[in-house]
Amino acid sequence: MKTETVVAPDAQHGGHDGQPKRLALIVSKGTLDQAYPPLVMATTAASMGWEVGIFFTFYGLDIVHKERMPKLSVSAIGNPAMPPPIKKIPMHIPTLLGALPGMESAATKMMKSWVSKANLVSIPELLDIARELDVHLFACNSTLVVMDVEEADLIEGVEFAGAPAFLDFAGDSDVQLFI
Amino acid sequence: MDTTGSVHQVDARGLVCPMPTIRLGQAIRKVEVGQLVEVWTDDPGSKQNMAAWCKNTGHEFVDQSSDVSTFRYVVRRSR
Repeated sequence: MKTETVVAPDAQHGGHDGQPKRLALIVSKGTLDQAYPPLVMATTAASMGWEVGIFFTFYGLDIVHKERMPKLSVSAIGNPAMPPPIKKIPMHIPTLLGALPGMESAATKMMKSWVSKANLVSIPELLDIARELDVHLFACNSTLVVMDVEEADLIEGVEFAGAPAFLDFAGDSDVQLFI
Repeated sequence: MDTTGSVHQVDARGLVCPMPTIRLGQAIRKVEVGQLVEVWTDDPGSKQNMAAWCKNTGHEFVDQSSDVSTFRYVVRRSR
């Protein structure tokens, strides 16, 4: 059996001053395809011992909204990367046709079928893992007011933060991403 | 490398990133310090991912092997 030590023994030092590394994400979009990248990054970082905070703002708040989260969709409009619905017929859907009734639902179904075929976990499962790993899920206070969302509309475990509080968290972070 | 000791096995075959490392993390928390977790995966990017995970968590990357479709990694809980 081939044996190989890939990791130097002193390699576990993370962030500054012996603190764990910290990841700060801002999530502003509420579509199914835009929900995956931040949750995959957040859960992975947390599983590596990083401290992680996600700031859900504007449409991103839908990802932690009890009723809207299970209904996250993919928009067929303005997405030239939308692949052909039938693989054998390599014809992309003209973006204009994305506006037709039923196209959003079809695009969403298509993405859900890829996710299921690839055995990728669902968004609710990723949120469960995130909470299990103590990822901070910050709901933007102002968005609650602007979008008329009640605190009780959000999933369990969500914390509430304004821009200064999140920036305080992000200011001490090693990686910051806006998604 | 010494791979003796109690081994907790994680079958992550069929799961794509990030699940193999997430499952490894879940398993590591269940074993005692010094014990081993063995992960099976068919994720072709798993070597880099497992190494990066160990580098960041400080757990020891003890061993690896593979056959045609399955990669096997052994990680020791270090702390």
